[in-house]
Amino acid sequence: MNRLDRYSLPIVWFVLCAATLASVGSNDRLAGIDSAKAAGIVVLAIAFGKVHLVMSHFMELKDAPAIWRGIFAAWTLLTLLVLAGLYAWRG
Amino acid sequence: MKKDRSGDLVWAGPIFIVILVAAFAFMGFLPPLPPSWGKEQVAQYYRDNQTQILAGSMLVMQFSGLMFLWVAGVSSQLRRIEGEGSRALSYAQLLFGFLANLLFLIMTLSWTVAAFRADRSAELVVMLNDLGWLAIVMPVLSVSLQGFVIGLAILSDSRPTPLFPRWAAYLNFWVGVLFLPGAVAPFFKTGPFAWNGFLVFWVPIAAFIGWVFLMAWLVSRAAAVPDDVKTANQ
Amino acid sequence: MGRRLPGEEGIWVFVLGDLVVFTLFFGTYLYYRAEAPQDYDLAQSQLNLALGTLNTLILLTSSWLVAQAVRAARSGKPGHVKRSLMGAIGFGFVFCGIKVIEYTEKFGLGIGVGTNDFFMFFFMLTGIHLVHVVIGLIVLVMVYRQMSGLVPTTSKLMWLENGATYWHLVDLLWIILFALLYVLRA
Repeated sequence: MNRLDRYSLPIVWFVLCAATLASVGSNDRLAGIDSAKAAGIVVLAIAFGKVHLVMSHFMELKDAPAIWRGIFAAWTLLTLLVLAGLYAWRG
Repeated sequence: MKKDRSGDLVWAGPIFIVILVAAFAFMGFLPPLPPSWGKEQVAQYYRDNQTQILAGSMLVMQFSGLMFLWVAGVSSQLRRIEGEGSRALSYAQLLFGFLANLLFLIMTLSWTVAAFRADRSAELVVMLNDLGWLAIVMPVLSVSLQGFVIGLAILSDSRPTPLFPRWAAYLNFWVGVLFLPGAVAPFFKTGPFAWNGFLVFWVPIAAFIGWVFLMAWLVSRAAAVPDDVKTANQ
Repeated sequence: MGRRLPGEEGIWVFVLGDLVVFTLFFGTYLYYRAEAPQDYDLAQSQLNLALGTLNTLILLTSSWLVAQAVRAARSGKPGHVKRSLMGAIGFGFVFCGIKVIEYTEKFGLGIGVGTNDFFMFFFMLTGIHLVHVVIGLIVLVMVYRQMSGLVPTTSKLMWLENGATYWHLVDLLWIILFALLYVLRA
């Protein structure tokens, strides 16, 4: 186990927490200036970025066989696209 | 050694599913009558479709017994997994399955009584209609537990070659989760959580159909494995 | 070490299945939301964003501790494993406690599942998620009690990895729910 590996979990945890606060903060800023949809897309993108981090590092998919990594990456991307689509273009 | 009949009997479940879906379509209950309908509208529907509802309900009521053969087939394979020790899981599956099938009886009896004298007061017709729908979509937890119990039994199989593949256990857990939203049906008259809603009717019914077919297939495969496979593989 | 999937394949089948179910939930919510976004925003402003954010951080921390426990188990440090798991379970309980506070706060204001469509989704989706949290806590406690040996055996390690994988699923579902219910506007 090299040194970077040893610290990777706390680093990921820190990034996840920072991203949470950033998404709440950015939404307040952006939503105020009449671009709520853009703010929402940013919020969704940050959320699914966090999901990808949890999958790769906490669930250790980064060390998993390519097929499993592919399946979960595909789910993440597809769901983000579908949800962003529903949010942005409907209504 | 006697032949294990559960592999054949279990296909009674899928046969019932075919009858169930056909009967629902025949009664005009696919999609379900919306819970948001007023009492006059519901009573009118029962008057206009009296014969279909009586006939469809009769079919489902008479053939719902087929599901017991499916339940028995599943339990007999679970019992093989549990062996001579505790039989708690196979008994639990039997009871949960029994309860679930009783709901078909309550549902069809309510609709039959509603249609039997469809010209009676609309309030009574709508009450019986409600009773039938809520009986079938709402008591989901025992069906969920049935899935969990099957899953637990599959995971506890210590044979070198288990009777069921281990992924089947997790699939049963998943199906158990899919049923859960039905529990809240009485709180809503519109939307995805009402009794005709996407998450309370369509998803659980699709999960139920897939589950009955899949378990029938898995049980008939398991039944084909002779009992002494444990010693043979060692 | 070659490429491998933690736990057994079955748990990943379950995770994928559950993700698909929740995709349906998320999609249904946004589909209905698009019909009256202003109403949803108005109702959303009655949520306690601070408690929601706090709960997100709590679940992330809990998830991290479980990941830590898995690594400690592999390098044969049972003391480490138990401490990390204990912490993760503790944070899980705090999550449930905050959820209960939030629900009672809403009920106190006369807000329930029937108040409007937003709160229907809010209570349903967070409620179904809470059921997942409770199941996850039961699993983690079971895994914790199994760990009371010296060096974990292969089968104990497999169950630890299974439990951890499920717990991370609970975490990542909450990440999305938090964004959809608490943050997303218009």
